[in-house]
Amino acid sequence: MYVTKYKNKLPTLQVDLIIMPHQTQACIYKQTLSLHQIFQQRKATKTLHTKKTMMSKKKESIGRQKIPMVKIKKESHRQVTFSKRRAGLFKKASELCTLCGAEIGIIVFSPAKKPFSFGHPSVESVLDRYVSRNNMSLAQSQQLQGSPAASCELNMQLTHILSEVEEEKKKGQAMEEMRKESVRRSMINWWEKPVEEMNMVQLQEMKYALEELRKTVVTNMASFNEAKDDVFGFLDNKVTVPPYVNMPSGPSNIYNFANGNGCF
Amino acid sequence: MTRKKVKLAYISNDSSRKATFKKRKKGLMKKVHELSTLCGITACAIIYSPYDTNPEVWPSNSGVQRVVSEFRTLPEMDQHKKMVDQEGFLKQRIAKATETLRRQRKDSRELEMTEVMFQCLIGNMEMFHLNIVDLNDLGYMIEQYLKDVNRRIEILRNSGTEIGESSSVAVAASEGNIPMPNLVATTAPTTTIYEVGSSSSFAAVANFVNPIDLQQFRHPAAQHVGLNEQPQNLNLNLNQNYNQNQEWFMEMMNHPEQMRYQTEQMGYQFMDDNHHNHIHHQPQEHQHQIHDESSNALDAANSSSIIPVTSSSITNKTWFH
Repeated sequence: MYVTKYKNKLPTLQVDLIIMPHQTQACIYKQTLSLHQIFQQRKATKTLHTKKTMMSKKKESIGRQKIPMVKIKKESHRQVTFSKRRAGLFKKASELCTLCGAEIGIIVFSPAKKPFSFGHPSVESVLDRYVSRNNMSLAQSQQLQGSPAASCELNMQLTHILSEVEEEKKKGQAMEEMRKESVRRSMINWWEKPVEEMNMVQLQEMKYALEELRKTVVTNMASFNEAKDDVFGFLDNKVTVPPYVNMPSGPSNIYNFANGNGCF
Repeated sequence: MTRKKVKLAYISNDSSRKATFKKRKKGLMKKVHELSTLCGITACAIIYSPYDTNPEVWPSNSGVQRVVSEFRTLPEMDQHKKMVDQEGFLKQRIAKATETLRRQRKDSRELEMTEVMFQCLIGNMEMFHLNIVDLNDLGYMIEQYLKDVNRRIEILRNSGTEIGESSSVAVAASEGNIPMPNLVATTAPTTTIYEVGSSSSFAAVANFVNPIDLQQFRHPAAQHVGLNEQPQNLNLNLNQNYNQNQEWFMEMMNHPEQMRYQTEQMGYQFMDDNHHNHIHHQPQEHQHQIHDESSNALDAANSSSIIPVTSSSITNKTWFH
């Protein structure tokens, strides 16, 4: 029997669902825990075991649920489940090939009777080996010599990108926290409220302020362009007055003149 | 023993590799079983081990034979259409992860620039040392936000017009009040010009503290915006002014307390605006001179409406210092 022993701290998770304890799962706990804590630990155990993270905001409330191991009745749900689980299955197979140098062939037919297959080194070679009941050690050694280099490179690349994705997600969450702070602050600063909640007076003020800020940004960009013309020469076409809707020629000329006068 | 992220590389330790193989093989078989059960499909898996000549199969030898023969009877193109080897599968995953990373970065950038935009609106632009790329992104965010604001203004304007048309009593009441704002608006600039000429600090402070005059300062700015929006069509321009005055007065009469609160808010924004104008004082003066030199009637109207803003800037500068 496989015995799981957890000594380190487990992450704190919200337990919104009742998880039925499984007799086959044996866990050793250091001390007697309350029912709530037991559920909490089991939830955490499953989360750690599956390496899944509930980063997505949509699923925060629903979370991961255990489903009965029977055929899914609804057609659309079945199709979605097939797509997700097939990808996960192929991922596990790929990892096993990488870690242990095994040769694996998998064939699955979708609910629409389309074949999906994964194989290492290739589906054909694995099937041929299986059907012919032959060792083919020579072919095996030749193929194994060729492919590990490319796979190793791709695995490293994939690991690198996935770690970058994790970092960006953390940064995004920090930005979300900042926005929540801003939402709290918008009780005082009316201009940070959503546009739908502003009245006509506030909208007019906002429009005026944004137009002034836009002029400032264009002026600053022009200054940058003048200061580092050799470096930012390729951005010349961007340091132009943005097109105004229903703006008379007079103010435009005045603005251009003011902008030019500010630069020189 | 703490859990660490498994490095995706060939395990060099022989016993460790064997143990990992056994565990993961069982897990893989379980996953194939779950997939076939949940989706009611036929599936098979063949795993050759470096340690054993006989492969591990799921569901059974006869099951695998049946699936393989079914697979082989399909046309060649159908077989290869959805077939991937490890390299192909890894490339697919890399492409998907790259797209996810790009989208995540774009979202983070948008949130960051929104925060920077709001900080700049209250005069904290010096906090961020913006380079050319930051300024470009900030300009883009301002454009997008300005579009939202304009769209919302159009929606409110249309609904305001409908309300005006449906309520004849309100229209009559508004008509009764129309002469008053014109008179007050005409008087305010003259008073301001006189105060600037006298350069009296006491008068400036009184002018700043007086809420009624403060209200007038904001209203001409709105008129200025209206004039700029539709300069060519005079009739439409008059209608625009009429609508704006009507909305302003209807709101004031309906909610006097709310109007006072909004006045305070506008006052706060007014201070921020002055702080913003103070940084670019000289360009404002140049614009003022250009307006004075113009002899066009419309430009003259713009010039007269612009005077309060410039004068208020000077006044506030005196008051702050």
